[in-house]
Formats: sequence, C-alpha cells, structure tokens
Amino acid sequence: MSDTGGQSAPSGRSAPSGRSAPGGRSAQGNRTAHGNRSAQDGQGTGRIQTLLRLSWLEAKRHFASPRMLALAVLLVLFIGGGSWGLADPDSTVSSQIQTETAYEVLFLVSLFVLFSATLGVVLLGFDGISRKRLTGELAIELAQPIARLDLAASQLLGLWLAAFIPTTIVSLGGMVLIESQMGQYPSAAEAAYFLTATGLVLFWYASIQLLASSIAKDVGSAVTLGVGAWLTFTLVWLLITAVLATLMGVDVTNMQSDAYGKFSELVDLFSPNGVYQLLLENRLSGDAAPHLPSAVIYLSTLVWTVVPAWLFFYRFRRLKP
Amino acid sequence: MGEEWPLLSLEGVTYRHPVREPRRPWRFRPSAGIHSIDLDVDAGTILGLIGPNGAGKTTLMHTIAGLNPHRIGAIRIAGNRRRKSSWSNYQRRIGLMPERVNWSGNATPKQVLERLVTMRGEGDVAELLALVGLSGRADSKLDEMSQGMRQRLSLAAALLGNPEVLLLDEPMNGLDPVAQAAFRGMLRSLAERGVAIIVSSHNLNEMERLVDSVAILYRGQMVAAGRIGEVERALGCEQRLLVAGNGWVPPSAASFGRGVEMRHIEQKNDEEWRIELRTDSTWTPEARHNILDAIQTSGGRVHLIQTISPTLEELLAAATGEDPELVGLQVGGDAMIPVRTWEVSEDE
Repeated sequence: MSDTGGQSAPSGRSAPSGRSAPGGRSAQGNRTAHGNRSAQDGQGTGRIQTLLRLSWLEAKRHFASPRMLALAVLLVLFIGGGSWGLADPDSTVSSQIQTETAYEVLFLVSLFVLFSATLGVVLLGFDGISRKRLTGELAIELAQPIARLDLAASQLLGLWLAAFIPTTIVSLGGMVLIESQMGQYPSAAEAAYFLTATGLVLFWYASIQLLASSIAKDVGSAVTLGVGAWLTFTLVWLLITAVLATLMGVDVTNMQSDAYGKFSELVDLFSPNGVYQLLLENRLSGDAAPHLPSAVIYLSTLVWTVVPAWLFFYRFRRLKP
Repeated sequence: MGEEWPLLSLEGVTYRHPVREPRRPWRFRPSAGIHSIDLDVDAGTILGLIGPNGAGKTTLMHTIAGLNPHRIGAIRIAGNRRRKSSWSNYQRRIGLMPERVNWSGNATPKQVLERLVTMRGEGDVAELLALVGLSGRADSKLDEMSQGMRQRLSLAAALLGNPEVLLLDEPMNGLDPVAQAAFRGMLRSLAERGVAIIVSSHNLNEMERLVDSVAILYRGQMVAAGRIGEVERALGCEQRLLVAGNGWVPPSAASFGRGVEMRHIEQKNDEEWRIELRTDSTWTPEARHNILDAIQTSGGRVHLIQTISPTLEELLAAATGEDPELVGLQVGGDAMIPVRTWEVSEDE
C-alpha cells in the first residue's frame, strides 16, 4: 500500500507479522490530543451518580412530554375525585363497603390508582424502547461506554419516577381532600404504606411496559403489547379468575363466598393489580383482611418486583438496534 | 523491532444475524452478516466502506462499535482487544453515527447531548454544537429540525469525547451540497488530528472526494480494499478518459503516449467522434496534455475531455466475476457463500 500525503493507507489484509505487543498503547493509540478521560470509570459511586442522573433526565423528558398532561388529568379526575367522593360521609358506595377511616378510603381509592396511574405508565412507556429503536437513537445510546444494565435501569427508574412523582403529589392532595370530608388524615404509617404499595405497582407496570416495548419492533406492536398487558390485568383479570374458578370447580355463582374469595386471592397473586390490592388489604382488619398469609403476599411482592425488571434487563442486554 | 499496531485492526471478524426459525420460533439460526473481515485503518486515515444494499456495511460498523456480539475474529484498537474488563475503555475510543437518525420529540439538541455526555462521562456540549453548526438551534425542539440538522446532531453525538475511531454510516444522506462540502472539510480536519474515520456509502463518486482508501463489501465479504486508484487498476476498472472532437479521427492510441489504450471509438457523423481511452498509470495533467497535443497536431479539434470513474457495479462485477447487470440487484441470502476477493498491494 503506498502512502501519499503523509498518510498511511488502510487495507484489507492478513495480519501483519511481528506487531508489537499491546502491553500499553502504541504511539498511534495515545490520546494526548483527545481530551481527558473521566477518572470515575468503573467506580461504584460514580456509577450510581450516573445512573441517578440519567434516570432523572429520562423522567424530565417524560415530564416535558404532552402525554404527561393526559396523565395529570387522569390522576386528578380519578384519584382526586375518588378521594373526595369516597370520603364524603353522606355517600354510600355499597352496603358491603364501609369507609369509617381515612385508610379505608385510601384502600378504595387504590382502585382508581389502578385505572389511572397504571394507565399513565402505559401512556409514557409503551414506546420507551421501540421508538428509540425505530428512530436510530438506540444505536447511539448502546454505543456509549455505559453498561447496558445501567442504561436499562435508568430507563426503568426514569419511567417509574415520571409516573410515581405526580401520582404521589395527587395522592397527597387526595389525603387533604379526605381530611376535609372526614376530619381525619391517614396516619403517617398508613400514608407511607399506601404510597409504597402504589410505588411498587407502578414499578411493576414500568418493568412490564419496558419489557413489552423492548420486544416490539414497530409502533403498532408496541401499542398492542403495552395496552394489551394493561387491559389484561385491569379489565380482563376478573374474567380470567372466573374462568379458572369454573375449571377448578369453585362456585362462581356466589362471588362473596369464602371459597371464591380464597381462590380469587390465589389467582390475584399472578396479577400486579391483585398483589397491590392484597398488600393494601393486609393493613385492613376483620372481614376485609385477606385470607392469604402475609408472608405469601410479601413473597409475591418480591417476585413481582424482581422478575419483570430482571426480564427487562435480560432482554435489554441482548437488544440490537 | 516489531511493527506497530494500526489504530483499528480487524482480523477474521465474522458476525451473522440470528433469525428465528419459521417453524420453531424459539430457536435461532445464523442468517446474513459479515464474514471473515480483515481490515487495518491507521490514525488520520479516512476509509470509505462501499457496497450495495445488504452488503453488510451497517453490520460491520455496528460490530466495530460493539453493538453486535461477534464471537469469531478480533477487533483491536491500538492493539487492545475489546474484553469484558476493558469494554468501557474500548467504547470510549469509538464514536458511531448511525444512518439517518430520526431525532424526534420535545427534547432539544442540547438536552440530547447532555444526556449522552452523562452516559460518556465526558464531552463539551457547547463546543460540539458549535463544531457542527447547531449553536443557533441548541434549544430548538427536535421535531422542528430538518433532516440536515438531525444529521448534524448525529455527528455531534458521534464526536462526543473526541473518539479516536469515528464510524459514519451514510453521513451525507439529507445534507445539501453546501453542507456536504462543509462536512467533508470537517472530516478532513478530524483526520488531520489523528482520528481514523470509516465512512460508509453506496456512492463511489461521493467517496472519491473524501476518502483516502476504500473497502468494497459484497454479500458480507470484503472483495477488495486499498486506495481507490489501486483498487480500480487491480480490478481492471481504472478511470477512463472520454475525448470528443471533430475534424480528425484518431487512427490508434500509439501517438497518445506510452501505456495509453483506446477502448472504444464512436463516429457520430463524418466529422464528429468520441473516443474512450484507458491508461496503465493515472490521468495526470501531462498525460491529458499529450493527448490534446497529439490530436491538435494532427489537425483535429477537441470539444470535450473528461475522466470517467468506474461505477460501483463495474467494480463489483469485476471483483466478483458476476454479471454487471445483476450484481447491483442481488441482495445476499442467508448463506455466506464465499465470493472472489482481491488483495490489493502496493505493487499492483
């Protein structure tokens, strides 16, 4: 290969013999002209800081998106409205549902959380990965010197923060509305328990959405997978439970029966919505308390926290742009 | 004293995209990809990666950028192989500009680059935006940007952290001629600073004005590599000279100088003619002058004299021995059937 203009030419070739061993870098590889490298590479603190900063940037991106407006409206209407209406001492939801304490109102409000906040996660996250893959941004991100696990975790935390922060704000507002109607706030422990459970269910949905989005290769399948997962757990689950109960010989004609209640709780362990409800029920007493032992509910909580997130990380590590 | 490693070195790199088996979708089988790629790129060199659609240009770039997990062959930067323990250092030394990134959303170029700077742990956003001419649009929404601006943003993303190896996949797409010229100037100045640049394109003419060397890919295999003129000569597809005139039909190429051969002659009418010449060296200004002299001395008049570069199809056909009419149409299938390859050396 001839040289011209002082530049050596590239070549398709067989490996040249006698190359100097790359114990350090060759003169060509020195980076004196290319700026300084960050010293925090590979260090735990720097890695966590990077992860948190990326998560926050991702959350900010979601906050600036027009979809956040739709989520805000949903949250205010469902959680705010639910808190106000269910805490009204003059209103009666049904003879079986009693709302004597602020926490009982919060428990009922959790149904509205499942309809609004989880839908918000779908709205924000259904195309979280697939859109970047389609636009080509994913290739740029994956080519950066950051571990894929960290990148995936930042996407997940960012999406979770984007849904959890407004949900928390509206839920706290809901507690104020409950106080204005009932004259009592939920205790700090109850409020923290409610918000923790709500944070967990949003985390599970965020994991499921991003997993679905990483599988989808176009917008259509991203919508189908994202909304499909939400519909399954939110609306279709009752039907699934009833069908399974029929198949297992459980009487479905009386849904208030103990037998159906126990079976329904077992099936609910396989749904994020079900586990969320069981978690909240676990602080209720009397007939409202779940039949299942607390340990089973907490184990299921752990499984729902770990498995979908792990599946998403596993998928993301093998993702190709 | 042994030979120094080139900045970027590929040895027998093979990667085949896994695809699901139609009847057993849980299983994958190897499909098209790149096969046994050997390539050296020195610091300060611009290499054009040329090939038709489906040749494997993007796959090769993604493999170098660490996006495709190749298990066969070795990729080294300055002699250092990408390993699990040092992948971060490897990635830092590479900048990738994918083909036609459709940046979209409410974010701004500044925010996009800030996010990438956070991932990289280095980089100056303002400096980069100025370098690619986007300072004035730093706070514009991505949705409001033209394709040319998006290309510039992609380039800025690739330049973050001053990578030593720059991989640019079809970078001229969407750029107007003025921006293309500026882009070429920018790449040349980066090369002068010691950056090794690989630019992919299916347009050979576009590459001629930019690159030092080319590597021709076809069906995932590198069929020829070297300086453009050397590759053309090695494949018998060197630049030809088209001369058109009237008054005198040149009887032979003998009077045009040594090594000049008349390939084609066309008599349009009694007076006008066109001839196509080839040379075993290059068309220097002196060689052209000799031809003009020879024609004018014999009483002829020249209307047109211009060089004609071989097309990519001609090069591919010559390299692979396939039909020039079909070589551009055929996209490689899943099987990696070896094609004829050429090793271009200094002597050729």
